[in-house]
Amino acid sequence: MSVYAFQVATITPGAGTADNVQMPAAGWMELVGGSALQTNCVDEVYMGGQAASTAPLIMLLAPDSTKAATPTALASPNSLGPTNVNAGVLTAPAVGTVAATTPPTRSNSATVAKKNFTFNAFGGIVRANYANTQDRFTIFSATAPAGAASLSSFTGSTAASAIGAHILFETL
Amino acid sequence: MRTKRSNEAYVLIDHRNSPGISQEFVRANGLDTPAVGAGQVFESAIAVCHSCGADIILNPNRTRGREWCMEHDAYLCDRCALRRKLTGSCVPLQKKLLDLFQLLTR
Repeated sequence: MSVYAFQVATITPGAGTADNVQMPAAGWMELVGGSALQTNCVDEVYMGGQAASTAPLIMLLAPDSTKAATPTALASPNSLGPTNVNAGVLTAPAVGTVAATTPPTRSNSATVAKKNFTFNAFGGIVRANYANTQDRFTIFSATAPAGAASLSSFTGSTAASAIGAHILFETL
Repeated sequence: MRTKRSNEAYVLIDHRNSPGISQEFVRANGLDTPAVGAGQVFESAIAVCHSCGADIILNPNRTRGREWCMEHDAYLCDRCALRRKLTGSCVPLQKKLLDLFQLLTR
């Protein structure tokens, strides 16, 4: 099926939030399935640091126990769309969010997959590509926890450090 | 033919133009992640645990055997391998998703 790119030009993940604690109003990017039986597999995660001084970040790609409520529609310069202009357009594509009235809460389960990307946002780059793997990070349905995942900073990160990021994912 | 290597993922942490991450930061935060210092680049193949989906960095200097599930012909992380030894069962991530799918469509 189609590969989509969820891209944010700049977010400021902040000093980080512990698991099972509601995230701050901004500074995270959440991907939620578009329909009840939709499967989305993450192919790639990229983050490029934009901080102006040294800023270690502990970034987690993890399922959300509570997804964002009343999300703000994604707007330029952020985007979510198929990487190929000729791709078949889904009637209900996955939804990308970077702001919401009630932000998401990262799952604190010790038995779910979480991807840890620790890097320095002052000039650092991290990129992980899972396109070849059979067991890609997957969200299923449009309901948390299985159907929502976010990229956000964990406790111990550096406040006020900007990054740009994208998540490539394939909708099955 | 599918090989172990054909399913590898890839990770790059580039700190060539960055102060990087120190060993102290990694240890202080209890992280299980490579400490890529100032001016360094870390590039590695990674496997994905087929039971929990966690990343497994394929460290070429590892001397212990890499955990492998003979039942499902796939890599296991150390934590899931221990669980399999204790419980005698290994449930793949795909099976968990399939169970959820069946639950939702029933």
